Amino acid sequence: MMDAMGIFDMVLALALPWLGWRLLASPDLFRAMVLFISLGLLMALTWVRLQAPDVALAEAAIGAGLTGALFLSALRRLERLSEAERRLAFAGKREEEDEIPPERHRRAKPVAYGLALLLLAVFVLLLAWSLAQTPAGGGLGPAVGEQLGQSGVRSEVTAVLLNFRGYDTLLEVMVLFLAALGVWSLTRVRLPLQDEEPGPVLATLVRLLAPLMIMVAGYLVWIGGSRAGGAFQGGAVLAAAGVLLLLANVTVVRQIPAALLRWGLALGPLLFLLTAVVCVAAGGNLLEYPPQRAGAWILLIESASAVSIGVTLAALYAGGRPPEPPAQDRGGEQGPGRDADADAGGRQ
Amino acid sequence: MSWQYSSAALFLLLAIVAGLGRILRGPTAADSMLAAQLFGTCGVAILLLLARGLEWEVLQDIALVFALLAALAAVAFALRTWGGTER
Amino acid sequence: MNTLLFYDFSGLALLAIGLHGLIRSSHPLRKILAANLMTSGVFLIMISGARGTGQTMIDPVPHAMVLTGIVVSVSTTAVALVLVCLVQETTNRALLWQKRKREKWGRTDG
Repeated sequence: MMDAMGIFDMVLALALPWLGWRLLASPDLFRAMVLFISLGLLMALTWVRLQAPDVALAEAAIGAGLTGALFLSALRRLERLSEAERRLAFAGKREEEDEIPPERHRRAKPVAYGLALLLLAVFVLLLAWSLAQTPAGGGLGPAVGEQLGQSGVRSEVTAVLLNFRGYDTLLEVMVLFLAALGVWSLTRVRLPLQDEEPGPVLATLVRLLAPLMIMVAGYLVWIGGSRAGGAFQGGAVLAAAGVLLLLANVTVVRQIPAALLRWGLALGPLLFLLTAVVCVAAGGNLLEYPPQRAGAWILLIESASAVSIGVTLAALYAGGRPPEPPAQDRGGEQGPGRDADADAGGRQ
Repeated sequence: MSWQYSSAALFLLLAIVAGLGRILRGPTAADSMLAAQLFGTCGVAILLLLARGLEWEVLQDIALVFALLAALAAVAFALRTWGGTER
Repeated sequence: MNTLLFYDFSGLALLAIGLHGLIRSSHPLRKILAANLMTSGVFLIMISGARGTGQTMIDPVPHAMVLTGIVVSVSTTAVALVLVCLVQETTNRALLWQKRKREKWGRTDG
């Protein structure tokens, strides 16, 4: 029997690969990115259909919002190079008639390409075969359900994330921290593109949206104890608020002291590590909280992690460490903040 | 889930798929981006329909996050793509 | 007929398309997009495999892993984007395999 939801599933499942294919085949990079944002949306709907509301929340925050902003800003940054690069970055059909497009050049090696396709087909077939061999059911669902009582939370996914497999999350927070370290050690931020204040529409939007986002972030962390939600989702929404403020070039963001940002980045990982060490010192295993107070511990760690994840993702979006505090001191080649901005304005 | 909810959700999903054509074909960048924004609206509507149909409150949270974050991509587009280039 | 089974194939297809794009495309941004497609495919396969079949419960462990994976993939994407921007700014090359800015395509194979 195929009811409306069955057709819904089929359309969605067909749309995903088709979208992915068109996305990569699109000659225009901007269009590819818009398709990618849409793909994030369809993925979120898919997670809902597969009964994974936690994942759907994270995808809604990250896939549909943050990644789109990330890619669009990166594209803009690449575009701002010379005219020739801009054409290549867009790879528009009309614009590069005089040069052989790279894709056509690549097609000049049919043997290697055919071999790659063959390997790809074999890989996919092997995967499909192993998927078909995987026994249905089983899994750790019942085990998690049994132990849920002593995890301190009522949400299964949160219990797995922060109690049963807390070390996963600890390492994950560290990965985020490392990513931020990597970006900060590479470049300095040079975000402000315009010097002027945001226009009335944008200013109103920011005034309405940013507080709401921060509130929703707090709500998601809190509700994570009992149903879908938690540090990742809350942190992602918090990061979205940060990205919005960065995009609008609000003065407050530029005035945040770098030390505060550093502490914000480190807060989650530090607290998480500290908890792990305390748990081991108290005679337990790594991250084995006392069962009576596990809920409080989890909420504390989640709150700190959410703040850190938010700051980290926003910092990753900004794409570099904060500019030197006294903006006048480095009037040189790559002046921070306003100087770089005025410079860029002059070139365009 | 009653058929009204599920068929309405299916209709909205088909609207999204139809809108994909606009992204692919849309003459200007703004057309593509607006289509993507329309998807956001459709997605919120689908989530709310499913939330009512399945009586699954969590989906309302997801719809809320969706509605909040869809604006972010639009802002990024307006400032980073539309603002500076002639397209 | 369990229509959720479609999503398994969907994930597989996404993974294949992403891998193909990763090999095939020449622009680094497109490569990053392709890698993101691959992660989406993997997540889809994992979550699809974790669904409950009738009486059995949903397995929350893959859900937690995918949640972690989503955040990790967005952070790696951000780092990759910063790297791409830096590479392009320092070398003036739009494509990774391109030798120099003004050279003809035919001679830049390397």
